[in-house]
Amino acid sequence: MLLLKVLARLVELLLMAAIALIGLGVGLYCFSLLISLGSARPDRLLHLPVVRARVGHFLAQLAAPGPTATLAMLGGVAAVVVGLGLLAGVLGSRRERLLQVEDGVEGSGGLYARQRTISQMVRAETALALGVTAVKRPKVRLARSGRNGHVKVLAHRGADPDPGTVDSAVHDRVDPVLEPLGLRGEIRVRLEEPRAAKDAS
Amino acid sequence: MERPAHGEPSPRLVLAALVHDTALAVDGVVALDTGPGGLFVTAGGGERVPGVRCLAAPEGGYDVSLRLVCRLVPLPALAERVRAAVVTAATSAGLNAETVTITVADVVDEPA
Repeated sequence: MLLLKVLARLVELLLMAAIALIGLGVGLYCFSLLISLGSARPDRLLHLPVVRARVGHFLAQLAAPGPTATLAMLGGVAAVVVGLGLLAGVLGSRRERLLQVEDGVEGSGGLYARQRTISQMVRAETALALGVTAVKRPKVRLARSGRNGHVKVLAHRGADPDPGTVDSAVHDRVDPVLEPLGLRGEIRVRLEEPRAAKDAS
Repeated sequence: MERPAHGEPSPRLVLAALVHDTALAVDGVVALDTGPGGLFVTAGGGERVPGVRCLAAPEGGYDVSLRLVCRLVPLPALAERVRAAVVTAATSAGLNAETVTITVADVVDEPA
């Protein structure tokens, strides 16, 4: 994401410079209609007739079916992908998503935790629960205010012990983590598929 | 506000370094984090203190912010310990940490 943002800023700068230059060219052209600018004709300065002579042939090939048209289509798709990446870089939020554990209104200062931190803590605690064989990375969703949210946990268990025992063991480990942080937990425990059954499916 | 003598580090930088060392000495804190782009630092006079920001508070003293990497421990209790240690250390050094804001940036699953 950081790379996309840097790329987006660079492209933004280059585009702004290009637009400014085009604006200057158009401005000069408009002036040339009223005042003679001598040899300072924008179309001549930008060598537009030469560009047309070089690109015109390629444009004609583009219009007709063939390898050039395929190449152009691939180029178009790549441009769309790059454009979407740049949009993500420009519009993506730069702020970290933080859970506000203490707001610090009494003047002592606040306490905040990153979403990823909460996810890591919950995962580590779940993995230690009795009967848990694997844990998917918990999904943490915070409210817009950042003051509360909920955490989805998916744990896998073996055939022993029974589901109720494992569920209760996971709650015993995870609830003390979530409650002081003001988060709600949504814990699901599934029976782990045997490897042979997983390979067959 | 105190002004540093010529060639001496500013009180802001002294406080940041003190806060950094104090926080690291608290049980449960593993490291300090410099944040996105490594910009969460206190810098001045060619020195950088990572993971700590000290800003002059409107009422005098400094608003201190830290980004911690800690072990799997209860966060509110850890924050309380860090805050108390920082305020005590600052006061001992003749500086005033007006507020101490803590962000838990990461946790590591390692034994104490």
